[in-house]
Amino acid sequence: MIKPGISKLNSNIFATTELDTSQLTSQIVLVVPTQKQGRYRGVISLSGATAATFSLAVLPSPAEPFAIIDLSDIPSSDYTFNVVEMAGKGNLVIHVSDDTEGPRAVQVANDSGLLVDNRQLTGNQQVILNLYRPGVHQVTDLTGGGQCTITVNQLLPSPPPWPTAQITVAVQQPDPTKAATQMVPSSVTKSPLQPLVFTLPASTTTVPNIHLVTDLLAVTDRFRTELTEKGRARNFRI
Amino acid sequence: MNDLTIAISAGALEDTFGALIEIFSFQFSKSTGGSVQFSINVQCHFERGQMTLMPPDPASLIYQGGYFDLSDVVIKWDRLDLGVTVHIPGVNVGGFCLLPTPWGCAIQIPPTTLFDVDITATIPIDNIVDSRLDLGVAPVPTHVWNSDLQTYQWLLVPHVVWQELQLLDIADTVADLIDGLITNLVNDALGFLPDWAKDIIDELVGGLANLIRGLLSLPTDLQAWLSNLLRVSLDPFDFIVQLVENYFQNDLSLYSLNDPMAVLPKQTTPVALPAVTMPITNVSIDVDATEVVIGVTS
Amino acid sequence: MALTPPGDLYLGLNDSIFPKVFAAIVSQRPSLLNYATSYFASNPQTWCQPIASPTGTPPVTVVSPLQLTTDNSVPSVDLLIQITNIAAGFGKDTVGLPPSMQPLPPQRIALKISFAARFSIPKLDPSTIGCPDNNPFSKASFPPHLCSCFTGDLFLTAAGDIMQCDSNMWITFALDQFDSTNITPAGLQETANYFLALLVDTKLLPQMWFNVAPAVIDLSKTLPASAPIKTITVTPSAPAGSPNPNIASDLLEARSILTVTTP
Repeated sequence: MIKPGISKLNSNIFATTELDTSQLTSQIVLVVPTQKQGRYRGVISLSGATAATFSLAVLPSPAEPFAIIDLSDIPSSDYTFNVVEMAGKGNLVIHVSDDTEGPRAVQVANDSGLLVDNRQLTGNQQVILNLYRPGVHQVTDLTGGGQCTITVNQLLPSPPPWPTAQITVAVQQPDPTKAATQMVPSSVTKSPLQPLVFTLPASTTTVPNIHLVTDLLAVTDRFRTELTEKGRARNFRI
Repeated sequence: MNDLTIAISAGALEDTFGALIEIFSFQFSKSTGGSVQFSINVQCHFERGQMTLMPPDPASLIYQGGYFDLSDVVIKWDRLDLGVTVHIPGVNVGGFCLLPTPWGCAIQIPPTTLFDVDITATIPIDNIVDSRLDLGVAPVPTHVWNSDLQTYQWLLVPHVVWQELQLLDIADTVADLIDGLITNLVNDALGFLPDWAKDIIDELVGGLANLIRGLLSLPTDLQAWLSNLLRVSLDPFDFIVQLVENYFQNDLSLYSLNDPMAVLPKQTTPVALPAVTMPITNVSIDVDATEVVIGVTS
Repeated sequence: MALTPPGDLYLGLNDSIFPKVFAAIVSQRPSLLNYATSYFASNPQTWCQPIASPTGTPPVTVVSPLQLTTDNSVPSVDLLIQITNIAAGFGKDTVGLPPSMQPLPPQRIALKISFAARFSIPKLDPSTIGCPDNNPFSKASFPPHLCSCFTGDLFLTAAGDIMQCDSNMWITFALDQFDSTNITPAGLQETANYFLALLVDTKLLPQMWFNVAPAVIDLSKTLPASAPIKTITVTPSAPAGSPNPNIASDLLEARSILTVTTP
């Protein structure tokens, strides 16, 4: 972590260049559709220990279409009510605005089941990854092996403005009997400002949940692109 | 008619008072408020100019009594640093609507906010600012109690009776300096980031240097702008003259006489005897073009 | 009224200050004006003029009596001299000099010192003389005879000189002529004159030597501790041909030049 950055930039978003959905930082956003009505309890952990808790109420229509939960800024000491529309229409948007103390994890559940656990992401949930570092990143689903190569290109177009529209990548399990996933498209070229939206497949017995990580295989500085150690280890070709 | 008369020629005064002026050294900082804050850190001393004795002139609009006219006193900067603090407003990155609907956004992804902080940079401007001061100083006889010596004294205290700052001369290289200042500000904001991150920030704000220029609202005539900043908003000169006045009035007297004054010193042998003293009833001063005359009456 | 050119500093003392100085000495240091042997010192009723002295200040300066013999067989002569007034005129005879001293030469201070004096002289009582071959006076009695007070005026002219001694500049005076009036016969007058002149030269005038230094612009004590040390030197100096100090027209004037040097 580049700690000095926080004081002027107020954010660490350029500090982490490799992401992991099991450890939420400021470059990862989760979109979780709500299910049944009811009240849920959310637990946020930081470095393995509980840092905060909150309550969630999923209400029948009409109610707010989405609730934004900032894991690093829960308003009151114990909980707050995040009121979300009924199952099927509402969504939770979970993000971390300040990750200077470390990555967080969240689990939202009630007595009838788990709504979301970032260490076990499942279908219909979406993961938004913000990769800013110019170069080549590889997104891998650790449970099913699906991969997508993301080339972050700051010279395209030249000169800026860079496009900012999001790019969607679907994580799919082509064969429910096999524990294998793939990503469509399998390679993407984008500007540093374009977010990546990964849609996840429904949970199956073979692939019950998804765990995405990114690796930096090559870095581009101005006009030169160079492999990283990981890139060399994976015999990546630029 | 005075009992005791002392006169000093204009030449002697110029030597001694001029030497005195050059001893002063000042050090202070001042700043302005507002959305962009400017500050100066000053250390300076004087170099004497011309000194002329001005006799009393009842028709004068400036000062009717006699005074010493010090013109072209050069303010020599040992340090003159201009500081700027600018607030960079918050800049958002990464927010968008994931699911737009005809009724609004159904899923809003929040952005990350960068900046919303103050950044500061300083540049030295001692090489581009040249200024001179004209001072009128009148010697005034003052009767005070000196608690260190435990006696009254008559002091000739110099009073600044008027001052005028000549036009500030600002070198035309001020534009280069301001560029340097903006570069320093950008460094303060971004200096720690790797190049690729700086490029992203530049893209987001449309160039941080331009953003800062916009925040500073610098006009095209930078010399006039800096001159105005120094003379009006920051005005170290007023402060300098105040420091000179305080120094004159509290720490310096041109001449001092104990009152009562000793006419025979105290004796230690063969018998210890105190000094023989006489009170001073009046001290007067006359300034004319060639000399200053002090009259003492007991 | 250009006082200074071509020099830098001018100091002028007006003789109007003299009566004020004298009054201060009378009330603050009478011992400068009154000299007595211990007999007179301890007997205020014998004084020719009363002496008021502030507490802690002795009224008289005690002087040794006049001895005739080296052994104590004959008592000594006691004396009392009191200066009752001093008048001065700088360059002008405002004091009324006697004809023998007129006209007042240029560059002189005219002084008139008025005094009162008396002696107490032992007189041998012949009936108490002892055997001539064995310390005739050892048991003799010498009752003292207290003579009457007598007064007189001593006129003096003094010249001034200005000299530089280290960091001080002094104006000094010394007598050149003197005479008195109203003491007769001539031999006694001459005796009294020289006696008083000796007293004035050694005791009175040195007290009047004037240290000019405090009257010079003193900048050194006003400089802050961090200031570069500058030396201000004052040197007596006057245009060629004119005297320094200049004593004329009620004024004693001293001129000097000033230099400021930075090491």
